[in-house]
Amino acid sequence: MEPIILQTKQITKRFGNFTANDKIDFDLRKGEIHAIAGENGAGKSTLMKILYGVYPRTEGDILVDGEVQTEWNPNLARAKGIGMVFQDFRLIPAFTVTENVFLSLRESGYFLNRKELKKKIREMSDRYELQVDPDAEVWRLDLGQRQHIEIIKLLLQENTRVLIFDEPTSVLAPHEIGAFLEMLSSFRDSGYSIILITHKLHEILAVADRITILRHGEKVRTFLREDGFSRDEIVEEMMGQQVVPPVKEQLSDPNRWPDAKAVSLRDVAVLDNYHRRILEHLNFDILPGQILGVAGISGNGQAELAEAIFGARKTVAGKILLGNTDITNTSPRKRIAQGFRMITEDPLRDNVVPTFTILENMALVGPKLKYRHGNVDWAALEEELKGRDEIHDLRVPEFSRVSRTLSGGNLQRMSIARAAVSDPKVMIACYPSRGLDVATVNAVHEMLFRLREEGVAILVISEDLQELMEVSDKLLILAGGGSMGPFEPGSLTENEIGRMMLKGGADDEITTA
Amino acid sequence: MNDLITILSSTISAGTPILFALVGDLIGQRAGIISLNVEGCMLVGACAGFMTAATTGSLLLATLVAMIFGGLLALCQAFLAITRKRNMMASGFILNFFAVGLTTFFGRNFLGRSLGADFTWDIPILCEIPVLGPTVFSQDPLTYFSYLLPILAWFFLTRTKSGLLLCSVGEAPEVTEACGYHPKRIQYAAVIAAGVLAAIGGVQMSTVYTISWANDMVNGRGFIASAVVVLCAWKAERAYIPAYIFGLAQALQVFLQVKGVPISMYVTMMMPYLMTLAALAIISISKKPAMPEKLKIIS
Repeated sequence: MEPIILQTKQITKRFGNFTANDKIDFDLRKGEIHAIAGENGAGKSTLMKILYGVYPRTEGDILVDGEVQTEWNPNLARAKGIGMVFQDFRLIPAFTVTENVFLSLRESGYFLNRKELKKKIREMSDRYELQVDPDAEVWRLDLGQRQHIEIIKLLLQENTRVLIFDEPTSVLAPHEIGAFLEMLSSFRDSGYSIILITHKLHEILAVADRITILRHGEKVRTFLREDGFSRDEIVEEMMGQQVVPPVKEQLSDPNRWPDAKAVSLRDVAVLDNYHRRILEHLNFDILPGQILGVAGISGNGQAELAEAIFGARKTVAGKILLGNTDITNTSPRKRIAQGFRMITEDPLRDNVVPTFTILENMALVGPKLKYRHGNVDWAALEEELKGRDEIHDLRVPEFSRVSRTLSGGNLQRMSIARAAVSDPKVMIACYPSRGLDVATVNAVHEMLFRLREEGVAILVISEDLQELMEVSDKLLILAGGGSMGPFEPGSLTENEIGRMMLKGGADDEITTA
Repeated sequence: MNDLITILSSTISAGTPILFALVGDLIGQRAGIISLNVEGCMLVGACAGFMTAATTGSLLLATLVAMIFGGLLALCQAFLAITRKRNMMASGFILNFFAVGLTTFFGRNFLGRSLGADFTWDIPILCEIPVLGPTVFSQDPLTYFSYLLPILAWFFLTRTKSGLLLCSVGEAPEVTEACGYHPKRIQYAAVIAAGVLAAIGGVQMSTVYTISWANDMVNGRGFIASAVVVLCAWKAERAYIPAYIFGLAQALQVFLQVKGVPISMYVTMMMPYLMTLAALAIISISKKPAMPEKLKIIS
């Protein structure tokens, strides 16, 4: 059996009172793919960040080649040949690929020899069939290509022998995932050891040699390939007790809500932050009582689309209608008054005042405030809100807590609940289930289904195709600077959707303004 | 012909202080810190340099002393803007007023004093070329150094590890840190370098260009340098253009006055600012991100 390179013994990590990792034993052998699987919040990323030295551990030992490491940080980890591809890439957008690679290499010398380094990058990318153009500026590249740069950075570091991937497939189209997994196998065959973190089962089953399951911060079990992986057993270990997903009612007569209005986009075009026309010729309707799912590889205009519909981004062509009213380029303020609500991608950045309490933040959008002696009657508001199911189901944190002291997940739940209880007419939900645990995701879906029953027009953007297939009545695909569909989700396979997501995805086809 | 030589020659002398401060602040801005205090650093450099030169007669010594004091003033800016995270515009401004008071006090005995030295050093052979000889190659060592400065800075910023790291701090310090370096230390170095370079510009100004010390003699040149970094789109190799445009405006202003041309000196003085404003308007719509990410937060 191959020697163990990297090992943890009884690793524990606490954040305040919260135990993210509880006495975890883990080891990685030379030339294997060891997958770490578990639901969101199981502690996978925390464990990896401890292994790579980003987080100091609370207790336990890290061993490299059998030796206990007393000091441990990312620099030492890299010196020992351990490299990590983070979910959020460590790249400088304004730099070229070559410059980014140069910065990250430890032994790259003081002077940048562009010619030589470019040659090395090309050689390495040919060898593993990566798509990396050394002269491209990173901000022009899509996430899949950026991932390849991160990989090249590690491969060109000569002493690298361990590659840690944190949810690497979350930025890829379904179609690209196969090629990515093949690439992982070829790294293994060249002698690299790989740790693969994911919550997607079919990926692990395809390539992993061993699977370690984490649940609620504890290691549950390690499966070996030679024992044969049992899908059911693995799922059971990952989930703990089974959670029943909510059931969506059949689509009923759209005339049920005579007052409800559809949002219609007619030949709409929007620019991204670099003034490129990221989407154009958008023609679709968000109908009352329907959920329109939006699929696409990240960075294909999802954020811009949501902002345009909400009014936070100007459109440069076409019309947006609410019912028969032209609302093109009206302000978000006006649209909020018309019942538009948006759950943004990053609630802390866009949806929450950090120094306000949860209750004050809840009061910002939606509820009709009552006044007593000229002041907002906070007690009445609190009582009213506490009567709503969503506040409980979505586990909104204590109302008196100051927002900036809470984690992103908490704020996300607050932001979703706020949109849900504020009598929405049009709901734009960006990645509503990202980073939430299964039970909460179910609560979010239940909330969406309830709003749908009430005749709300709903747009859901997600990177999880499975989720979109489950919740959507119609599916829209963003790719290559435009939209395709809406389709009936049942009429397409995941592979077909994946191919559409890639269609015309090349950067040079996006016309610049 | 002689008029042309006069104009060109004084264009270079007047542009050189700005060139130094411009390249200095450009380096600082690439690291994400605006050094409005380059004005003050120039002044400190001009004062300390003139005092040293007038006392010792050595340009080298004057430059070294100026660099030290310019660097110290920049260190204050670095401490306030980086360690204490104060508003870098405000701290830069205040340091300038501090520098005005400081130099007025210490320089009071040198007001109106002559330098007693001429640092012009003709480059042999080259100085005999018509027009170029008496203008470009009949200057002082600091000016000769300034000819190379933007190219050196360009090479440093785009071809060396330190330079690229410095730029990475202005773009995404978390990436710099992930590469195993200390963003704050790099920022300190960049801000101090900005101050040191600006101080060299100050020495050149007091010992070569005006050959005298006067209170608040820098008179906004540092601010101009700081502002026209935008004009070069944060690219060091472009620093020549705005610096010499300002130099030319300065030279023309004097020249027209001497010749008695009926145009207000204030009109000629406005030209470079007008050009900067026009350039700012144009550059803001160019789609390639030239501005360091971290500067966008404060602007």
